[in-house]
Amino acid sequence: MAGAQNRTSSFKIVLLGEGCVGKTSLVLRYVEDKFNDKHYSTLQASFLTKKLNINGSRVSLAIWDTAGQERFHALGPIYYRDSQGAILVYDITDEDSFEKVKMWVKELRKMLGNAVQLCIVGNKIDKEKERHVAAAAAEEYAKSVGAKHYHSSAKLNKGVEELFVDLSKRMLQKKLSSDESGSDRAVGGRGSVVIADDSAAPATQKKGGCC
Amino acid sequence: MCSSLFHAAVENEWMICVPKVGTFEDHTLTELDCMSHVLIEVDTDQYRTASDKHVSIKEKVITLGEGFENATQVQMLFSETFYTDSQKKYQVWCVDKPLSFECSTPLSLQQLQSATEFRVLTVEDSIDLLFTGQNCSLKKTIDKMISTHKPALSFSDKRTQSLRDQIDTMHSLFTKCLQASSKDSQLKRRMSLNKHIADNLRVSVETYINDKLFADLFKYICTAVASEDAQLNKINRNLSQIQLKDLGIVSEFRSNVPKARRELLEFVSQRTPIAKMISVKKIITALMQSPRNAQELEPLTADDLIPMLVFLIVQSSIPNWSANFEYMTQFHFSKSYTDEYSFYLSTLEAAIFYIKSGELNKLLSADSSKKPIIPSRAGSPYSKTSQMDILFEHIRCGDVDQVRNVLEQVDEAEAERVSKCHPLCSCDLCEKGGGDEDSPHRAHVTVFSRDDRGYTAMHQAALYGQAEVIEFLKSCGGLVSATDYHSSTPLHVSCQKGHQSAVMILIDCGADVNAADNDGNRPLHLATLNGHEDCVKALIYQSLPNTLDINVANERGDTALHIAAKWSYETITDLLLEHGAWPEARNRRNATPMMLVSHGAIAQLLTNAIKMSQQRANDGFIDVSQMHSATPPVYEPPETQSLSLKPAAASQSKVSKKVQKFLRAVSDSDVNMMKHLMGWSEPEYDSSDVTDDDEKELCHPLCQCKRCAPTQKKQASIIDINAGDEQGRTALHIAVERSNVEIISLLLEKHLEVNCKTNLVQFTPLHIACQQLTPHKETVEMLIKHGAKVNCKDCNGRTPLHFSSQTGSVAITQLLLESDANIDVMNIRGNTPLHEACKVNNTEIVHLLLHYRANPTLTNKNGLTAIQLTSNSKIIQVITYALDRWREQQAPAKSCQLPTHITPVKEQHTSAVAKSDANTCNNTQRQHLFAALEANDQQKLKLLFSSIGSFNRSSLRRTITRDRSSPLLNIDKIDKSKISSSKHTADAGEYMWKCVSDDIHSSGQSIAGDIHSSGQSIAGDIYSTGQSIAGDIHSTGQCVGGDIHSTGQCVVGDIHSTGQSIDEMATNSTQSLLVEDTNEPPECDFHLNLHNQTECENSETESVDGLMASQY
Repeated sequence: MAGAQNRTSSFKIVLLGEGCVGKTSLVLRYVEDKFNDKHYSTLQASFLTKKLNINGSRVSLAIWDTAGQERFHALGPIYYRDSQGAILVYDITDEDSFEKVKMWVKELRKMLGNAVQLCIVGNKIDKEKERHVAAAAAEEYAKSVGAKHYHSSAKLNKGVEELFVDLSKRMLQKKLSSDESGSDRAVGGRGSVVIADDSAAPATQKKGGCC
Repeated sequence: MCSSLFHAAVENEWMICVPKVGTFEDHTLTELDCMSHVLIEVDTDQYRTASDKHVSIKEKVITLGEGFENATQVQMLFSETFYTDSQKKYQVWCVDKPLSFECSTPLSLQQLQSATEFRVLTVEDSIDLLFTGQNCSLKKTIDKMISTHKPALSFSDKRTQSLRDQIDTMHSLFTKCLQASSKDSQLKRRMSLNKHIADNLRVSVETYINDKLFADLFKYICTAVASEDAQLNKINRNLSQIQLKDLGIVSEFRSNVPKARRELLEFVSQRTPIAKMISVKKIITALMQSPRNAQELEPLTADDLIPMLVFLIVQSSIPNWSANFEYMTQFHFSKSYTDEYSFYLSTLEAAIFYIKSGELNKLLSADSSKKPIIPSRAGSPYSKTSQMDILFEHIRCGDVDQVRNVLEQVDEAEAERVSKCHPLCSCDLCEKGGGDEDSPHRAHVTVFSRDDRGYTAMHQAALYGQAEVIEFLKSCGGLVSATDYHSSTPLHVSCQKGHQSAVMILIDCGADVNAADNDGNRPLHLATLNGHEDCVKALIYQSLPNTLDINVANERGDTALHIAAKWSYETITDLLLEHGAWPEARNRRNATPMMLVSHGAIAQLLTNAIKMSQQRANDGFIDVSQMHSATPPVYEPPETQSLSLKPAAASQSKVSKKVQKFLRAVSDSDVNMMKHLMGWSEPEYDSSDVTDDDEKELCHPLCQCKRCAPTQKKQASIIDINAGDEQGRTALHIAVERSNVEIISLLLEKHLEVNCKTNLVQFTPLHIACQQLTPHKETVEMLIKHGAKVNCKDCNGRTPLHFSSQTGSVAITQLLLESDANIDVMNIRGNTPLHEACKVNNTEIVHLLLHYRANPTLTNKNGLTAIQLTSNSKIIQVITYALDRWREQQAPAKSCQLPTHITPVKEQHTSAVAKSDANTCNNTQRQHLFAALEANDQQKLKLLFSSIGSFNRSSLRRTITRDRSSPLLNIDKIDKSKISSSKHTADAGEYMWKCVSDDIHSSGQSIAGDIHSSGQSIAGDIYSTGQSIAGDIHSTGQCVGGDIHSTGQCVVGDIHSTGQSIDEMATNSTQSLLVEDTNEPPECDFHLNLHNQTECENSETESVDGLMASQY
């Protein structure tokens, strides 16, 4: 089951989008999950990590939430550099926020090229009645720029997990296809490797012991 | 069975707990243990294990309940979410210990130790890891590597090396040290025992190196990024009044700021990149804490985090953020940080970037521009606040007319009030005119009205740098000395905001440059703190001399210099030092500016200044400017000494102060200040327009309002543009000296006297232009174009051409010659430009002069032709050729000028001598020498020549004096009597040498003539006094340089012809002398061979001694 990819892949995901589109609640919904969604240990959402194991491939996600306010727009590059995945969130009830996403797509493609996996996310599908961004148009746009489109509702916990898992899978695939010898990111997250190794031992042992 | 449990867990998406590694032994696991670690959710927060025991989970803590032996709590560490192919998802949690005690047999200590994960974070940890077990050899190796790296961090290299180079060299040092550590056998052994040691090896090595080199390395980085830091500091200081609410920080989080600020103190004291990063993490986590009393709160996002961090940075007193950031990112070679750290660093970077982007200034100005909205929304247009706001808004916009309108309403109101029925009348008529019932005039603002900050209109004008408004307000009786609630004067305000024009106007209006606000800050402090170099200049130059106290301290004991040094403002530091700031002042914490410095160049400035002040301890005034200015030492810069020498006549001194100010502005190349002082602000202005009728009462002495401006300009022109300082240097002289083309052209446009001469030396600006070491052709061109006389002579009869020939600027010499400069003009010593060029051995100029048909046959007052002044064979060749041609053409006419008595050429002499021999001393001198020598016995001549010979060997001096500083000093300084009297003492030779060489140094050419003319008498003396004469001749030979060289020769020649026995020796000595001549080493070499033999004070000469001696 573990196979050759025993090593943890570390990915950096950056969340971009206008303020108020729900980037923060999206990531909080995913990372904090149902275990303790009522009790945030820290109430911050600007940097969160999540460990996944997808079919035996261990993935460590570092999710960076960026500032959405227009005045901080210029800080974008500091945040999104070196990221393997970008989640561009818009509010389906807000046409402007979708325009903003288009702008980010352009910028990301220019700065990061095709190395980055793009996800365009129409959030707040719980407000389907107030929809202002046509789903078909959004899908089509996403396709045209080589991104994947998702719909989600952080409020109803719809499509959130799928989004992150799917993105993780795409990033894994990209990593495998782009370079077998491993990109520099794999070497990067040294600290987390140390910790993860400790848990890895008992986890397999336990399973092994029981089998 | 376990497998089925596991599959069931996966199938049902149950939660699996895995105890932390090292807390149990796997072989002791039973099925029950496994089952106890599978949790099945029953209700929110309530779980039961697969073995049917109860647990509850709250805030990542598992509380064991019913079924467990002990009701303890287990911490959940982290989780991993598993996704299977079959779309199943389950969570595995790592917990800090097993849930049931059945399986927990504790590990042996050794196992536990090797299993315990640890991370090296501090220096002590690194030393522990690297050098435990007295691993001295490794420590030695690493320390040695580090110490060899140290020199690369010294300041002297800072200009040539970039930060990038430093990063690379540091990285290679890190690599080397890491290699050494990995090879170390002891460490190897320990690594095999504990794998965590290997994991932490890089970090340890890095931490150790960085800690060892921190002081030097960090200083280096500070210097490398000094300009960035200074820029950031300036922005930060100017934002110092920013408040949390301005940045839009949610009020709930504001309570986090003080906590973070405490962490910031830690940050400064950290010495390694890792420690600093941990500190940054602490700062940011402190900012991100959720406030205790907060309930329904939005989560904190980057939108909140950045402003808080920005606020923290702006308010911090850390002057080197850029350097800190570079240190953390570029010198962290082990790259051990996790994504988390890179997030913290990026956030910090983002905050710094945001500050630098200047967005905040927009924010602030947007904030203040909101104010004018207030009057419009205010209901009553006559309420006091609205009037005040209207006035202030107009002032902000600099609209003088509107300001006048608002203020004039006061007068109208006054008038209306007077016309009231009675003071308290409230009839309709009176009501209408007066407005408010109980005090009608209260509705209006005056220049004395204050707003909620205690600002008067004058403050407001100063705040926005509205110089015209300031003048207008002054004319309306506004007080420049008004203070706000913080005791700040308008001058404080404008210095803080950096409005140079406002500062100048305020000072001219009589604002107190030394006023202190509540923090004891003087305007100078504030201008310095906010990095407003132009305001500092304005304060220094615009204030009346000796009024600005440059060394005054504020409440914290900081002088302006402290502040400039701390915040890395290099130019301001320089400026302050130049104007007498005391480099060793101490603040309340007993710190000197030097201790606050993080920038290498500033440290250098301060060190120099301290040296200077020690040297000049007795002078009372530290004139560092001499050190800085590239003024050729031809005449003394007037600057500060002149102040004290000023005649006391009150009115005159007022004018001359202005002149001084003006000249200073010129010398500082401060065009704006200069224009301001001369009233040239408007280009169309023509002084001829101003007539005498324009004289009228001025609003204030320097008012520039429409009414006063013409008069002002007239008054301004009272400063004679041709006025000079004590030495008669006019603005043009100074501008030319500074080679400031802009100012020169400005001045020349004003039709000033181009040929004005300085007092003593009588230099015209053209003289100065031609003697610059790096001459500006443009300047010379401009001067000539504006009518500068090319043949003007100074007190020594030198024309610009003499200077240009001397300094060797081909372009300028050519320019002068093309402008009809007299090519054969003689100076007081009879030297033509050709002589000068030969003296300095400048082939190009000689070529050029000859090309323009300079007369090579002219002799100077010493009877020497140009060729005799040079030892350069190429020049000799050129001139000889020219001489031949000259003779061919002009022989019949000029034959009388040529020496008729030509000594036969000695075969053993070099060709150079042959040429010069042909033109040696004139007849009379020769004959005198002959006579002197013939009249005395051979014995003494022998003595003489033996001493000459020995002298040659021991300390033959350089034969050509290239003393550039010489022409200035007076010939009178030569103590001839001293020379002659000392001749007779035993050590006369030595002493004489000293005297003469001193003189020579001071007087150069002139002495050459003197000595030369006294040559005969010396010859006589030589003979009669014997040994001591050696010194004389020697000094003669030396000091006169080219001249002497030939003098020496002619003596030799004479001797030669007289005494046979001496003949040989003389020839020998001559030869050796000549050998020296032809092989004369480049001047710079002299300095390298410094070797003190005589008491001679001039190092240049000494060095020659040494050199010569060593050659022998």
